[in-house]
Amino acid sequence: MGGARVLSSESFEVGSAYEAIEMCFERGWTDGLPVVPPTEPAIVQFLEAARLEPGHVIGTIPERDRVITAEKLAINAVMAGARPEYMPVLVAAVEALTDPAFQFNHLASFGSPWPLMIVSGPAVRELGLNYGTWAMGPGCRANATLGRTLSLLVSNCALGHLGGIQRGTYGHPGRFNSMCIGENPEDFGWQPHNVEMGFDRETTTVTLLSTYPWIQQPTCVQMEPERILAAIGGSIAEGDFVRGVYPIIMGRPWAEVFVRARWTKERMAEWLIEHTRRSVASLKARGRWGVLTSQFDGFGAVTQEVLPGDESRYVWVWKESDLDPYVFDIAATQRKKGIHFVVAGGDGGTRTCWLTPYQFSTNPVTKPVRAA
Amino acid sequence: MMERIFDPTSGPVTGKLIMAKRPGTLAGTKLAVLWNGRPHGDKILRRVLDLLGERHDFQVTEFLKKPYIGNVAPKEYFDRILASQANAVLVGIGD
Repeated sequence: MGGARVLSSESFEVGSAYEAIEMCFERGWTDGLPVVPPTEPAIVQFLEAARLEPGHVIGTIPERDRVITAEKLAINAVMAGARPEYMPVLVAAVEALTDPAFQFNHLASFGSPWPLMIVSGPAVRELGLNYGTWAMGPGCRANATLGRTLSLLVSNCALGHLGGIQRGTYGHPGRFNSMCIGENPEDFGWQPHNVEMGFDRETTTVTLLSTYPWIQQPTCVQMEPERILAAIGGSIAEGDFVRGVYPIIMGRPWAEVFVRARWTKERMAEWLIEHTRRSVASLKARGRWGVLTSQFDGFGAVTQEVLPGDESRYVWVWKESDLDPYVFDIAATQRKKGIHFVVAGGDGGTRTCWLTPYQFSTNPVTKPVRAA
Repeated sequence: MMERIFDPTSGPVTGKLIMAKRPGTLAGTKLAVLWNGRPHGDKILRRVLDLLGERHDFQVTEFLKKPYIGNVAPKEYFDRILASQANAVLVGIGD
């Protein structure tokens, strides 16, 4: 390392910061909100924080014929309003984004999925991520700009913008920011997410998990493990009933219930896997029977008519059954299923939170944050 | 105060992509078929082949399904299509 870092991106002269911001709008480089002008001193500062040369390739996106260099990440991070010390976390996020297992192309889908970014480990405190009250709301620079950097990068470097290769029917409001959460780092006996993902407590991890916007779930007033899980599982089962890897987010008071009762995450997951089910009658009432599956052979071939016995026939979100082909598409029956429990959010209220995974073609990816 | 700001976008690595030349007719064509893997795409593609077959005389050399919807087709597929001497590829999705 050392020496002057020479940027290769095209540059444009501007007369003022305001003019620079307007130019970014005019050239379609923003998410619709103003950006910080990406000047050379700022970009270089970000590269130095990560100890990366501008041309260093962090990842490739063959579906878009693109590479993501450190220089492009730094430029977009500056624009998002991030700070230089966020760069190691952002590098890990880009490594996850470009991992073949993440299946980048799904981000262009009609369903408008967008990854929840989960940061777990020492960087949560070091960078000042909000993991408490309002954890998914605006107002915290680290949460907001880590997420925004990823969104600007996908728009600017991978055609993930309106008018690019993007066919989302409604779009995802989380792309503006706040789809980045830090896991509560307080040690109260809970197995943190980074450890669950196979790393030690001192290694910060970044996980990307593609989802639809979150659902808040009123939990049971009885703060007991089974009651809490029944409320969450019931909400998931009665929703769109898709198969995939779910993030379930709960504040510390709910997590402490499981810690006090000596429930491990494995036991929590096993309980949900066993009990999160929905009757065939209910699925038919929702029009979820056979339409998007291999059983579908033209409208009218598979009806939603409730038949005798359908009330007592079940399909499970995470557990296989011989009725799967009538509910889940082929890819969903073959792909990874699971649950990520993450502690974040405030101490008050009565709600836990979960996000519906994008169900067709993506997998969560976790990467360690390497020291610069 | 004059400053310079830097372009945050990046272009394709392999340069500008151009569309392959379309065959003027399917008559006598060797046609490969690539299904992207979404449910029912095979049904759509086979129906298209049936309809085209009513009007043109062509030969289907390969009918391939991508292993995963969201990924670029494996290089092996391109090799197989080229080896089959197909001079056109019919691609399709599903749902």
